[in-house]
Amino acid sequence: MSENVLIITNSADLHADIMVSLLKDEGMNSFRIDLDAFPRDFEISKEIHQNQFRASIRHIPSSTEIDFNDIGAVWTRKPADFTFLSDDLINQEKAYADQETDHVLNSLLYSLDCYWMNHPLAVRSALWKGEQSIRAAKMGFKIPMSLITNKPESVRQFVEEVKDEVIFKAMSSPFLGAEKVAEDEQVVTGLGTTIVTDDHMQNVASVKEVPCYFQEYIAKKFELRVTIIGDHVFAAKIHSQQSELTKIDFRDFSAEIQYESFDLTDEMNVRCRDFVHSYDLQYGAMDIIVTPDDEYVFLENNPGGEFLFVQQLVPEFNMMETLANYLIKGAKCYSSKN
Amino acid sequence: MEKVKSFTFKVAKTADSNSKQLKAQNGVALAGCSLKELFPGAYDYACAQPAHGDGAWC
Repeated sequence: MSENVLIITNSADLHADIMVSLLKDEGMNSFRIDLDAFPRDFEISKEIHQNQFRASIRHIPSSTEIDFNDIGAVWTRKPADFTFLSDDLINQEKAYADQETDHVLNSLLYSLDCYWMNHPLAVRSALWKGEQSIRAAKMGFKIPMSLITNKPESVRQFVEEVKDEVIFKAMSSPFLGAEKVAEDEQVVTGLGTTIVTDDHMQNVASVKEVPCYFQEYIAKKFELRVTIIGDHVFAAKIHSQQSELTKIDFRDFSAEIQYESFDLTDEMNVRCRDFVHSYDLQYGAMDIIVTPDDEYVFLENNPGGEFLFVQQLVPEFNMMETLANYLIKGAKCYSSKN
Repeated sequence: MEKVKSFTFKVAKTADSNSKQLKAQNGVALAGCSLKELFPGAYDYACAQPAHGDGAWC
């Protein structure tokens, strides 16, 4: 009996809260591993005897347990730092505990032969924005001129070549590592997409310290968040130009801008889906600009991107239900094969 | 005060963007984070830190 869905996430994940409830309503069992409580709140065991693999995990507070042979689908959602029984492990012991637990967890999960939304290896391969742009261009998307460099002279040349405005953004995280240091050690707390100014260029020599990512600024008529769930495509039109706060970077939710459903052309619909599937992903959230000339310009794909905020702002999108159906179908399909 | 050395941090110290702008309104779920890596290890997990759970984005 493989009809169980395993959800890997953290305890702050509202998406997972809702999904557990949806799956239950459909008669599907789920088991949730909150990584920020792992391994502290779980008992795990994996045995290999005579080429037979058997593993189980028990959530101690709820006394629920699942046999890994009964898992038919996995939904990988969000990461978190591990938590151990003792919160005062010395630094080296903590470092070892982290890496050993990481190894144990992945040894368990990677042994699963089931439906994945998404498999960690697919996520890992799909993360890199510099690679995404090249792939997107090969697949027919327009992409912005961009530069990744630690050479100040290259930045100066790029700014000259672009002629119009140039934007700068962090490739890895807009929090700039703030979450990794104590609050009183934080010198900056974040940086959204930013237009490069003459003042910024006074400091261009400092790109030698850490490589940087520059892009030509693309004028926007509006933006699209295209979320792919399996074969389903949900395109949300974001009226980012309605507010000064969201003109450069739409992710300022203090601005009340309009979101609505948008009909992609058939060609663009297929292209978006193919792009996500090209990484063996079952899920992806793509950011696309539509220019005043109605050209579509690819910005990036987020293999672990959030989607509940889109469903909240475009209520006719049944994204959560669609995803639940994929997990259920995947688990049942796997179950019927075994 | 100006101890930062990288272009990124120098821009961040002067740019209008800050964490207040970067955070979502209460009640609106997190916006499009890129998963850096699914499980803890040698990577960065900005999007999923409970400290940012009230609406952090990336």
